Order: sequence, then structure tokens, then C-alpha cells
Amino acid sequence: MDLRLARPDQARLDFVEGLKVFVAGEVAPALRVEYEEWVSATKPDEAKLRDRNFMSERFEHDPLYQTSRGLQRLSQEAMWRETISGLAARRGEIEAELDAPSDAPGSLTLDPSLEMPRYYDANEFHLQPGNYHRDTLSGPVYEVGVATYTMHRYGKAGDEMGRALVGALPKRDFKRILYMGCGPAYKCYPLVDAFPEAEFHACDLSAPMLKFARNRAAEHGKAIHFSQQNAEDMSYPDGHFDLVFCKLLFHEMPTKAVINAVNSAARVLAPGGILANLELPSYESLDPFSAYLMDWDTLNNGEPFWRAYHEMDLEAAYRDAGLDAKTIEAYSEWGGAKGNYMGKFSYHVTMGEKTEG
Amino acid sequence: MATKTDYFADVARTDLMRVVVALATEVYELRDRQRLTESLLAAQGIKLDDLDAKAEPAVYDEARLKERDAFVARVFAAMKDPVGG
Repeated sequence: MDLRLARPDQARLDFVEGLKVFVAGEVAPALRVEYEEWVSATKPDEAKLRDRNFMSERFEHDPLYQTSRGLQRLSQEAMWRETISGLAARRGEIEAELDAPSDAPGSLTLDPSLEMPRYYDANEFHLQPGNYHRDTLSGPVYEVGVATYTMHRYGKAGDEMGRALVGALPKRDFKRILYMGCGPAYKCYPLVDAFPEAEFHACDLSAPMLKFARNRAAEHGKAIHFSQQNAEDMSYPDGHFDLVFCKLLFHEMPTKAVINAVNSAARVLAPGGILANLELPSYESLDPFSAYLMDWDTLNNGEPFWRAYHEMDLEAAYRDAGLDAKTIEAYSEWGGAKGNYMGKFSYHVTMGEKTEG
Repeated sequence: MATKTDYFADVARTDLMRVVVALATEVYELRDRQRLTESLLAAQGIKLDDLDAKAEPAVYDEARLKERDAFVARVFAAMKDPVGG
């Protein structure tokens, strides 16, 4: 599917992306200099620097902080506005493509009776209007918007995280693989390519997202079986997969739902199978100021469960579900090479092997 | 930039007004140049359909990318060094 926008629409989106680059590359570094000068002058201990209330007292009314966060918020709103405006101009053409049946390898199974969880239905992740499931164009809007959101640092194919996960997984002959919370699914193509003999499945809550994912996978020759399911309560048989993975999924779910999803994944894993969850780095692995800036998203960027995710004990949830657990780092081309306001970073992959039959 | 003065009661509004003025200046110049360019091209019988054709993001076109980043830096210069910061 050709998701290029008309030149005037693309120009507007280019400008918004330029604003994001400016905030990340100019304003945030200036703010960090201010922070470091303040720390150097006042010498608060690390516990205080990791105390949100203490940091808020210092920064919430700081002009440079307000400017940085204000522009970040406005650019996010503008990004979705311009993306939707550009794609909606071609709505009929795109919808017709999404509705066209495909006989390409792989499949699509939708469940119109599937109830959306309340936390999901009530939110607009990353401020995407209509969330992932209320607009027939949710998938294309996500792909174009997120490429801009991440300033195209996930690569032209948008699959940087998939490559990172391939690099972190043990070298095994996986026979059946499941991608939970797949969204448009293009981030998993490196796994499809790395395990060409595996039967590949993917599930998500959103029908529009899955229709787009199926269309896109067929176009790219990726044989993936898509199914509309809730990761918290999947209908796959017990012990069906030897690898279940997800990327940036758990931080979009309340803690109870994460625990349910881990249990559900453990159930569908065969003994010896692996659950792998790739996420952005934990607060504690970042310097206090990066963690403070990162936490801003919880209240201001449609990430209501971001903080709770960072504060939960995911490894304990794995162990409770019958998986051993360890968290390892996965090399991020974005975080390693170009960095952002967090400086250099690696992804964190929580890996667990099913220990019981 | 010379020493910045806070002309408004609210410091953020002062910088926002700087952005608005800088942006309006850019937009007016571009509108004027665009109108002139299109009229010159049309006078030579050149069709302008490509102006609205589908396009790749600027990030894949070095010249456009450079121009975009320079534009943002110029318009938003005040935001790097806010009044009171």
C-alpha cells in the first residue's frame, strides 16, 4: 500500500518532524545543561533526583522545561492532525485496498464479538485520535505517524526493534511463533526472516490494525496468521508455541492486564518455550534526569500505564507464571548510534523459559 | 540575539509571540515567492501537477531535510533560550 502523502501534506508533516528533531536535538540538550549546572551547584543526592516531587518542584515552572515539554506535546498533536488529514484525503482508495480479499500465504481471522478492555477503549495511545481501533485507517495512520514520532530512527522499514530482538534471542529452531499485540506487525518482519521455517502467528485487539497488518504482510511476502484476540485471554491451545514475544506492549497495559498476559503466554508456551518482551530501558537504568523526562509521558502523552509498568516487578510475574526470568539488553541502532534525550540506551528484553510441563 | 527582554507579563507568551512573528515572516515570504514562481511557470506553459503529487518524507531527501531543519532552527530560535531560563 502506497502511504505516501501528497506533497503539501507531506511538507506539513515534515515540518512537524523537524520540530521534534529540534526539541530532541536542541532544546532537550540545553535543558540538560541547565540540570547539570543545578546539580553541580546544589549537589542533591541521587535519591532526591529520583524523587518526582523533588524534581517537579525544581522544573515544573522552569521556562526551558516548559518550552521543551510544551513543544513536545504540541508537536505530537500536530503530527496526528497532519497525518490523519493527509491520509483521509485518500480514505476511499485506502479502505478499498484494506477490504480487498487476499489469497497470499498467511491468514486473517477477525472476531467482531471481541470486547475491548476498558483501559484500551478509554485511551488514545500516544495521543493517536480514535486510538488503534476506532478508525478504519488506524493502521496506516499509526505507520505514518509513528515514523514521524520516532523521527524515522527505526529505519525506513520501521523494523529496528525486530532486528534488535533477533539479536537478543537464543539461536534455536523455533517451530511455531506468536507475536502478541502485533499492531501493524511490520516490526516483526526480521523475525519472520530469521526463522523462515517457523509457522508465524500474530494477535491484536484492533480489527482495523489487523486488516492493515494482513494487507501489509501479504504485500511484503510475509506469511503470518493474524487473529483478533486479547493477549490477556488467548484462545490458542495449551503448549502451542515455542516462542511468544511482544514489543512495547506491556507498558500500554495496566499491571493486572500485564500479569494476565504473562499467564496467558505461559499457558500457550510448550515446555522449554520462551516468552520475550522487548521494552525501552527501565527508569533505574537511566540517569535520574532522563528517567524524569521519560516519566512525563505518563501524564502527557497518552501513556497512562507507563509509570506503573516501570515500577512493577515483571520478572516476578514471569516466575509466578512458571517461567524463569532474566532481563538482558538488546542493542538499539537508534539508542546506540544517534541517541536522543536519554543519551545512549539499549532495549531491555525480559526473557523467560517455561520450566514446567 | 541581543539581550532578551520580557515585554509581556507571562514569559512563555513573550517567546510564543517571537515564534509567531518569525513564522509569519517566513510564511509571507514563501507565499509571495510561490505566487511569483507559479505565475512565471504558467506563463511558459508548464503544468504544475507535480506540486500535489505523492512525495517521500523529507528525511529521505538531503536537500529538503537541510532546508527544513534550518527553517525550524530559525523560527524557533527563541525556544532554546527562553526568557527567565
